[in-house]
Amino acid sequence: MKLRNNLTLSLFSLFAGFLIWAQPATVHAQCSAPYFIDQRFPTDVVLPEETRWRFCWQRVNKNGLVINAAFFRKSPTSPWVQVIYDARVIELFVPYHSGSPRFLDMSSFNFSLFPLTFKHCPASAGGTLLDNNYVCKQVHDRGLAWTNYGSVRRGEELLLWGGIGAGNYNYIIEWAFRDDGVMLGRVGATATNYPPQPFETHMHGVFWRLDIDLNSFPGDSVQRVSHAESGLTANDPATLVRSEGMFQWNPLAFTTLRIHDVALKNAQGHTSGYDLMPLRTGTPRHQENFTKSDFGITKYKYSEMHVPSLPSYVVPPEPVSNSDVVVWYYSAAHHIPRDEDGRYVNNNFQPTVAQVMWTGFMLKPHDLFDSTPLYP
Amino acid sequence: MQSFQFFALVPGRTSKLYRILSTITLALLIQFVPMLHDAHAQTSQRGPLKFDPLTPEERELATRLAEADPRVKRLRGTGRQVLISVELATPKTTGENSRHAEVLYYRYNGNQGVLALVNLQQQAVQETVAIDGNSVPLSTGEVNQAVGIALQDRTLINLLGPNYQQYRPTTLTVREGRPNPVEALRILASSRTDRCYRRRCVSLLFRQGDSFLTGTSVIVDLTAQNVRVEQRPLRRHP
Repeated sequence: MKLRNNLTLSLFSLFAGFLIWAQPATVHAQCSAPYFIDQRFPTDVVLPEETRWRFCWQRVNKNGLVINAAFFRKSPTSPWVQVIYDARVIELFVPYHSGSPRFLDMSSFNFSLFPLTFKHCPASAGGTLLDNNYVCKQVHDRGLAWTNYGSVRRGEELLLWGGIGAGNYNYIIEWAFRDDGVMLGRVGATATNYPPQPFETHMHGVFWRLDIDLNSFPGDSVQRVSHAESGLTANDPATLVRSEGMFQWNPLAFTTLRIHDVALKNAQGHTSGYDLMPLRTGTPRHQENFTKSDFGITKYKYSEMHVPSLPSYVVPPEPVSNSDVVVWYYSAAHHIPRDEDGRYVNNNFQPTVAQVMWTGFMLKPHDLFDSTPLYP
Repeated sequence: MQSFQFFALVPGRTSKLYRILSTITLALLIQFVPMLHDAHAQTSQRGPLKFDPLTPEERELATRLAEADPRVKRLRGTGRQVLISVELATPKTTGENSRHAEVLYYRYNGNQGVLALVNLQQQAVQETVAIDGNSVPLSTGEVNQAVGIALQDRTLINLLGPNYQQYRPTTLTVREGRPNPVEALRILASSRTDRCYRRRCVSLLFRQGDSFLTGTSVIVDLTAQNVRVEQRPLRRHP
């Protein structure tokens, strides 16, 4: 009997091991190396694994660096949770203050990523060049995640970035996947000012299209969370978005979109979600209708990929509660030229160095973990 | 209890541990056998996966299928037109590893784009969409054409100097090593009074070392096949 028990125990262990091997296959079977990223945290393999990201990426003409099929696992014993089906910068709108030019840098030209070097992506910063050097992966310490007097926890993250060569400008598209389940998207505008009008102030408007399939699709809904003050008290009501529409970001309301799935709850029984939180320095508005709002919520349709048509996508508005939703987000970097943007040669200004200006957003878990993932 | 065949294989008394492990194993088997089958099917599949880049063969197939499709032919018409791009497409489908491509054309007549979604596995055009021409990017061929038109302008030739013929349109892969690359930016006009309104215009930037030909606007209208060169005063805004 003891032999049989040992045999069963061995078979069970083998089978369990096989299951652990097999489960990831269903998560990562949608792309091949080097387009598949699998990152455990903490990165020090001597320490027990806590969280893990798996995703695919594509190098796409026009959109640069696109994230697909991103899954997060909050603990080694938890199931994988899909977060993203497709996340991309869908348009770069750059109007100049004189009224012209007004560039749509993504839909107007098939700009692509330019090759990077080890100077862009040094190993000393955790960098590895991928796909013939077009993309940089950096895995590194991200600074302080939490402290409480003598207790401290530093965080880690994986950055994946590439640079679009858009004529005189370069646009850095950067995606961050953090150990605490946070995902960030940023765009940095850099290179040189527009040579015909190097002193003219302009806006680098960035539109993101985020097809968030939390816990797969459909079953997703969006809530608009707004902070409101009333006398000495305040509250933060969350309003369900029932139909397609476009919304403005209100800095006084800390407007946040919460995307949640009808079937995804944590161990406390709370509905799990991700909060879309803007990281911005201002709100760009121009004559064009597609710049009149900061958020758009549409029902997934394959062909709806053109920002100038975004206002028409929400008319007539279709229901989006408990469905397959796409979130659009718009922010900008406002560039006022300065002498630091170049050099003077014989009293003639040569625009040579526009330093990076960033704008972006954060996707932050809300009741995804059962408790803090950070307590040491 | 003999309700499970798995137990019935073992004669006599069974230990508590044995019962627990056997039950868990059987439950896991029932739950995960379909998944294991899928995983095996996926790993044994040859060829690119859903989010992998298109292969040259897939690009060629997608283009051939789009060009033969009567709906695409009808939308493209018979006038002046250009193939813009063939890119991977990833529409949501029930097939986990389905392969699709987008073939995009631009038609000068009516400033119109034509997008064909091609299902590579079914070898068929799945969907055709007419899109606004302002949302259709420039092709490399159009940029080459624009630079050719610009380099015939006498004002521009004088500004560039005697070696003006060394200026060549750049593609990102060959930028390094070219002394005089020309960058191209598509111009979109919002006003009906603008000469580029609803036309295919491109602003050309002539790189000179680490800077550019500064203070000069070079705009080629590909629809009309002409160029406008304007010098602007370089003023620092207060």
